[in-house]
Amino acid sequence: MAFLMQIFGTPNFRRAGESAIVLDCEEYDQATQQRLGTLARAAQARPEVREAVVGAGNLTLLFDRNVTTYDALRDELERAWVNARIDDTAVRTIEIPVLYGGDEGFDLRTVAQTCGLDEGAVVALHSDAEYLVGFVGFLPGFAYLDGLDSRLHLPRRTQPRTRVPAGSVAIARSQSAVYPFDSPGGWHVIGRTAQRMFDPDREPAALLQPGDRVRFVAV
Amino acid sequence: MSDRTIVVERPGLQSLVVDRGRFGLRHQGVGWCGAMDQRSYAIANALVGNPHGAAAIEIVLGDIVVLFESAAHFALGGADCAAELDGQPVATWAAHAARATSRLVLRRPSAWMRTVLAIGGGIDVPLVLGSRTTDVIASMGGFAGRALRAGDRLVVGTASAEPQRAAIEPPHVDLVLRTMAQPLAAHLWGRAWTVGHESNRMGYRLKGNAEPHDIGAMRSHAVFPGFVQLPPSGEPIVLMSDAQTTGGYPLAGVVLEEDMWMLAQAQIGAQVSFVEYTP
Repeated sequence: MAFLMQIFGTPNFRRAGESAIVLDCEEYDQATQQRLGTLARAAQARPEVREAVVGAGNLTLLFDRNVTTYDALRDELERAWVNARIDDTAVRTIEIPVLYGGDEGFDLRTVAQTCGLDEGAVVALHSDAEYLVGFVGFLPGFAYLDGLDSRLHLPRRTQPRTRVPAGSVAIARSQSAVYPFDSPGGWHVIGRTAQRMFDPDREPAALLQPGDRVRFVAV
Repeated sequence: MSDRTIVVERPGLQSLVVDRGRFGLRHQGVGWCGAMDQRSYAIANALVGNPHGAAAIEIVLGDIVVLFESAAHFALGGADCAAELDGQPVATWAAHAARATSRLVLRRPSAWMRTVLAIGGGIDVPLVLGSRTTDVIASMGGFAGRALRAGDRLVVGTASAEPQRAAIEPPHVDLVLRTMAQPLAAHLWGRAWTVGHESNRMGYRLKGNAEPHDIGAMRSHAVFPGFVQLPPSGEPIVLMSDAQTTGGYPLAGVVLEEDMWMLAQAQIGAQVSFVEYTP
């Protein structure tokens, strides 16, 4: 047990209002996100937990104050954190087909120029990498993907676009993402997928869950 | 499915089919949405004998006309829009009977922001991920995933109980919001804030004599309606029903869930303050 504590460090806990508890980790890496994802899924199955949301190196539970307390949940989370078994073989790898460049990836040329690469190299770097779903937020099914090659790291656009089309595959800073809906957005769009990232008729509705691995495949 | 219907003749600024909200899916990025004024929503439903959770229509700043194509009971809660049914005044906070062919007209309210129109039997739209509420960001739920337009015909469910006969006293709005402290709470207390123009169903942006801070963005973390974010300007953003599920701004407080309906009723330019609440 001491060994596990050493690997993962001891998380900090804090309150956020009357009915939320936040578990904060020092680290934001694949092992941490997988562990947080495991805890979140276990928590979601419990009736006293209204929401269980993974962030970047943190997990927030919104709980029913009539059924449980902050202190009780903190003790349980501490134990669960230490005892969580991460089954690496159960990690899903999801392939997302992408049409890069052209009208669909309207920022590919600019990204290539800014990074000092040709367009083919940008596509190769983006589709060779394996990504990890850090967390989901911003929009239903919008997954923040870590693992972007450092040669493609760029700040967000200074002027966000008022409309980025659904299915746009984009990069910003050290992350990649797919826009599930037409929405405003400040990321650089390098391609588009026909894969539905969010479908209310599917279970689960969001294609990507924290801890999943993702590969982009050029079509 | 019931064959009772209403038709929206004039949609108003933004009229949405709402219920309590879409819960348990924030880990997939799905917001709660739901009625901004949960209190008026609950009262209006109770007045027409609906179970809590029945879908109703939440209207921003009145100015809506609805034609009843079938007889139904209805109730209005929230902003008083000097409503008339077939030319006769109808009181807010009370249930009324509409005939088939009755026309309900709401005018622009002088105070408050939102009016809930509940109809006996509830608005019958499909459940999407467990809720009938409209998510305008994901274009799902409610009526076709969007605000109502002129000509929309909505099905009304079959009423399960009789409406209440007695009107109720309107609840009192007090824009001194009870708030639990978060790390930057000192920026909130003792200042008068004004509801800014960019306020909407996602968040209320408050303006005032703010004290800027230089704490950078935090790692993204879960946020919920009622959370008070503090961007570097020091001007608070109170997250509302349609709030996104994660955010990176530091937090200054969490407004009590029971007080959020009052902020939802604050018009642009209204004065708001925060008072520390300790459980």
